Amino acid sequence: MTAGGPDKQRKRVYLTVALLVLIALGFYVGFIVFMSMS
Amino acid sequence: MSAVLMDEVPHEEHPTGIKRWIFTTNHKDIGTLYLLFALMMFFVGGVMALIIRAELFQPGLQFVEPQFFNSMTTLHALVMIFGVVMPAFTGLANWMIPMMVGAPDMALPRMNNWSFWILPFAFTMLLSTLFMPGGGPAGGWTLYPPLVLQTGDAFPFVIFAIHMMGISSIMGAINVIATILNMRAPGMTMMKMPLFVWTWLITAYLLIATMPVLAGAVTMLLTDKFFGTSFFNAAGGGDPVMFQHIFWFFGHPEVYILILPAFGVVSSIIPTFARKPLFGYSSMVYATASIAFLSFIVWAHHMFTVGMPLAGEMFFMLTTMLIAVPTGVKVFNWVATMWRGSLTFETPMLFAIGFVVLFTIGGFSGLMLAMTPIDFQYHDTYFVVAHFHYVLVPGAVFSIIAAVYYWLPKWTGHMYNETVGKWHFWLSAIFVNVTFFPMHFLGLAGMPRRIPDYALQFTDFNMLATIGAFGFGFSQLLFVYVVWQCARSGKKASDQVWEGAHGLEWTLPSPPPYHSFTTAPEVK
Repeated sequence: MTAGGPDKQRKRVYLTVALLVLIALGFYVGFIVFMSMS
Repeated sequence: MSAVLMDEVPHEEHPTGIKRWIFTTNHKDIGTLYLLFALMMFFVGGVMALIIRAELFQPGLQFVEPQFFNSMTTLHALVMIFGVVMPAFTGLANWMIPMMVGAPDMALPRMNNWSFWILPFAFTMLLSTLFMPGGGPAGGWTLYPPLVLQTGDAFPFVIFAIHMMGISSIMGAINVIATILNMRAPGMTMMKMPLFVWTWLITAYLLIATMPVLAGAVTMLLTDKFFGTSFFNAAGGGDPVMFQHIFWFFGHPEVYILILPAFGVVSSIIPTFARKPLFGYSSMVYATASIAFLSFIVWAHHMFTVGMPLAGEMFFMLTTMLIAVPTGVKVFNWVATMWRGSLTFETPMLFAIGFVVLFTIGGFSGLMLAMTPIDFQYHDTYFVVAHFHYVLVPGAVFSIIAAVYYWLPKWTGHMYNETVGKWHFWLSAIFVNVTFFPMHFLGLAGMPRRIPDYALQFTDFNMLATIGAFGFGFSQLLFVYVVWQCARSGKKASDQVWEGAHGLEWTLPSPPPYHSFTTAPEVK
């Protein structure tokens, strides 16, 4: 268990997942939009 | 989140029979599922390889139609990359990462279940294309337009299958990162993590950055084919070469996705059997990160012959050659770890040493291919086939086999049959070279890739390669036998299993309990 207890750990996991999903979606949509414009 | 709920709910209870495997959220069960799936697909992809090699045993057309031959080369690659090496490493990650960082399970166990169970559907769909009108995909695993757009009814199914594989990989990668960043035991700082955990963390970032790019590329293929767009259609103002750029922006980091976890495995095994700590731990971490960074700026070395500006060719040649530096650091460190160590040569160590030697041969031929003027000669020849098979078979595949032998006693609680294991290694090591070494000569002599027929002067080396391939294929049955036998019975394995093994995973009983660390261990 990381410092801060279960609630804090849960929040950190959700934050990590949200960031990673955003990065992945960004690459996917970004490449298609970039290609559409070029 | 099992880690959070661990103190509140008893997790040792779980369904039995088929329900256990379908609904499991346990990292060990899911790891086993991934590994068994990879093993099954290894034989599916292997049969395809043997069909290719049987056809190439002699010049002329013997067994299959050229269209089917091309489907075999295409599907062999897709199956081996997305169905064998990637799932096998994800299986190893599932089994070992929570145990290595002192966590009870992965951070997102339900998503873990989902990311595995997508795969059997994706590959059923991919393989079903062989039975569709127009046959399976036959334009090569790189899916270059405009050729790939000539695929028959199979086309949308292939694209959908690739999307599913991508989603599965991204979910797996998110889980690995979330676990490593948030669930380490107290005292397990980043620079105390085992190299396998480090290499997987970096691999997971590569996956998150590149799989969406592949998904974007194949989505654009789909809209070009069915919705009237012209992303890659020159007649509509698009550019087919742009597909190659996007594909290889995914494809080159993908190469490192396939090999970085292998570096982690070898960095775990060699210190154990040399009975010495890993030489240059921090330089290994930085070398891995450097390779990952460089992997994003080398992609066009796959495309030297498309007609790039000279400055572009120079840039991609030099960045590619630069990768040899961190890779050299790694090979040096493995050798330095063995130097004056108290070495013993159990099967995992044999496969790890085989990896170091044979992967380095693949690395050297890669360095040759990195040189633009030389690549003009070698491009699309069997030299390229020899190169990437050296890094993927005695590279990635040997490391997966080494990892299974290394951790199998921990997983099952039994020692495997060392004699059969050693036979497996020596037969594999000999036949892998008989298969792939002659391909260097074939390529240098000008034999092109992806053809079912060839000129007479290439016959001898092709015959040799085919004999090697069948030998290698049948040798792998020994592996199945050893794993099967070890899972059922064998000498009881101790907790530490190997005399020189260090790390949290070796403090757990063999086999470990259903949930690894119900109370977090203290790392000094």
